[in-house]
Amino acid sequence: MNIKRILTWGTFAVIIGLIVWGLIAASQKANRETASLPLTDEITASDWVVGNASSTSVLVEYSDFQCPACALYFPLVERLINESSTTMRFAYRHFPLTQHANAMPASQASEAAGLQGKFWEMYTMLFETHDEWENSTDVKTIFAGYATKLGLDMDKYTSDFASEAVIEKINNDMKSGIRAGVDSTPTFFLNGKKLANPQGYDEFKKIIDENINPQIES
Amino acid sequence: MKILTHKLNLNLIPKWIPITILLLALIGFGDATYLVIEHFLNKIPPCSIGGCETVLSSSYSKVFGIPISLFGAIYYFAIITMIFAYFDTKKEILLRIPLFVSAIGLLCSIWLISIMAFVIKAFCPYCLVSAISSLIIFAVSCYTLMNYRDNNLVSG
Repeated sequence: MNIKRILTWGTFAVIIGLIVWGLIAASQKANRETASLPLTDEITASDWVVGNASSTSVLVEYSDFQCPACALYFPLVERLINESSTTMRFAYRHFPLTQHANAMPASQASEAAGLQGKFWEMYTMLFETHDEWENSTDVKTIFAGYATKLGLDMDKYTSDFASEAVIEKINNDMKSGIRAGVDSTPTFFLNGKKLANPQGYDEFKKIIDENINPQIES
Repeated sequence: MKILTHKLNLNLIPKWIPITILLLALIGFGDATYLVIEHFLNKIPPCSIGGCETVLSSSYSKVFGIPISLFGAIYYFAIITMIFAYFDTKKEILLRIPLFVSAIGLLCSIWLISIMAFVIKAFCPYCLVSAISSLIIFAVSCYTLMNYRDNNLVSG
């Protein structure tokens, strides 16, 4: 084996190794850190919020009801709300992506239910039944069925569903997300700071705890 | 089918040809490998403006449970290896094989792009990068096979 041969294959090994190592490092780094704009649009009366009103911490989620990842995070968020509701509030904002044809109608259904005080009931219903309507071509009927199940006034629901006010509310949510650099769902902000999407409940809970109660860390 | 049997005249082939193919294959390899890593790290792909996750989580993204990106990574790795082997040994066949194999890469890319365009109706930039690099590799291959045949040497 001569020097040239060693050099050739050495270069080969170094290049392949560097590419693979670099990509693994990049992938893990993207998981930990995320540089982004802060969320400047604070929680207002028009937001859907649960949790302790006097708490100073707030977790905001920009989400798309049809997005499979949002549906996967739904049980995590539910558990988080249950376990942290005394110290933290949770707000849901719409970010229906254009490639999801049923996301906008789902947001409309939730807002229409919200006008009858049942936003969170519809929110839960939509995520729990995600697989049933995700690819349906007649979601309006399916969502009307959910509205009936929730005991909503159907005349009001139907007119609210298509009302300009509801659509404007959803678009305003999206605009506030875009202002904060949201380009994918779900995107979480804790006290205005964008979080890297945690992989699993424990990681999520840890991030929240560390940010809400810094003393827990020590 | 002269093209299939004629050897290449290595004396005529300019250096930029294997180097260009190598660089494109490295881009394709990095691109595909990134998707393989993301897949095996079990990341929940968020839904993004553009719809990459729609493509990557669709049933078309896997063949027998193996992500297509892994096939892509192996394809580009094979090309890279052969080009390096060609640099090492200067054997004509090691350059000719990648040139022919590039047609398979192009056909797969066309198939996948068609699925994105007509079936899933969403585009994943990572898949497009790979498709573009395989298209250029194919174009360079055609150019080489047509212009640098050695008319005196017939293989086999």
